Amino acid sequence: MSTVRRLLATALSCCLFSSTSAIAQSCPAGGFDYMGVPIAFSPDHAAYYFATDHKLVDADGAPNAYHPADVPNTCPATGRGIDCLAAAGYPDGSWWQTVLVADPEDPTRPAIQQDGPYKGFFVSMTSLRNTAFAGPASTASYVDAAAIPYIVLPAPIYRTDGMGEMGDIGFATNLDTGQTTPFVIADEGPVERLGEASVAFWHALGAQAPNPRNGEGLPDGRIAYVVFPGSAKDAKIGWPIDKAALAREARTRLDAVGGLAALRSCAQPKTEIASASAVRLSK
Amino acid sequence: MIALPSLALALAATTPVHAKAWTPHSAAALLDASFPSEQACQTALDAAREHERLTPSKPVHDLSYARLFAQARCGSAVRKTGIVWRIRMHWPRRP
Repeated sequence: MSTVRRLLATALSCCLFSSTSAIAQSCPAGGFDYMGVPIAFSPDHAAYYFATDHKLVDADGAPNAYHPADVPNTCPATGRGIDCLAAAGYPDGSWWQTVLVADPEDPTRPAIQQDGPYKGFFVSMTSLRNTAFAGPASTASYVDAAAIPYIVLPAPIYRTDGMGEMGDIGFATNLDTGQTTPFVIADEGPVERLGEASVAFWHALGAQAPNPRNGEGLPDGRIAYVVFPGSAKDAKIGWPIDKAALAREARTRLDAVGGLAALRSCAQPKTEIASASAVRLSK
Repeated sequence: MIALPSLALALAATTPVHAKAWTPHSAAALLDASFPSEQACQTALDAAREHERLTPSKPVHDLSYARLFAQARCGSAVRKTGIVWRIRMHWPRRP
């Protein structure tokens, strides 16, 4: 039995490496590492790839993200807002004004939604915004984390040339399950690892009920990403963002760089593919 | 988790450079700040490096603030209001 398994593993290994090496020839070789994650650029820098199993949920932009009645400085698994106030830096953080809209009449406190289905909640912002659409105090001017798959770029990545701007788009796949999602870059994070994304992003990749408060409910698996820097200029995804248009625009760009096979291969440098395969074969 | 801060907010967050340990959010605010001149940008960056040299803060997933700031350089950017100076990251490239 063990001989059969060994033969099977060898055969599988041959197929796996021959198919990935064919794609790998067109994969970029250069790039840089960020917190242990290799980032690889296409030769024309129109795309970059990375893969990570680190996952964090962002609720920013969701109209029900933060509620003033939630207890500050603690983060129980449930509450009125889908995320806890501490995640917005409120009230003790120095940076809540970067997450919550300040009350125009008293900028020392956050504005509260005065009407609509989430009346009484704070107004949560995203870096990607269109305040001309509904004004700075409206949730409609920001990207709803519960509805739109978006990713968050850590500040050190966002402040690196060629890593994309707010509104650029991309595509991600769960390497373990094959589930996929398009995404838009919609928020900037602090100094943190790659792998933070919206509630809707994680839903699309297999999460049943991702909880931004504690990270529970996130899908298993390693996620591969391809980002298309500069795509915001000509990707027509509308405002409010049209999910179908986002999917269409991202898919077109993914296909142009070789589709899902290229994403799977290029997001993981050769050495990583080899070690990941070895782990899978040994299971 | 954070949105684009205004210049005032960013500068406020970087003001206590010599008083507090670096945090993921305060360092992000420094990276997001706009400066009116190259000298102002370089002064802020030098102060950040010096503070980290004297009192190292807790690294973020093995990335020390010393290494983070070592990758940072000041560069100009054109805005509607004119030229501003900002910190840009330059990571060592893999061959």
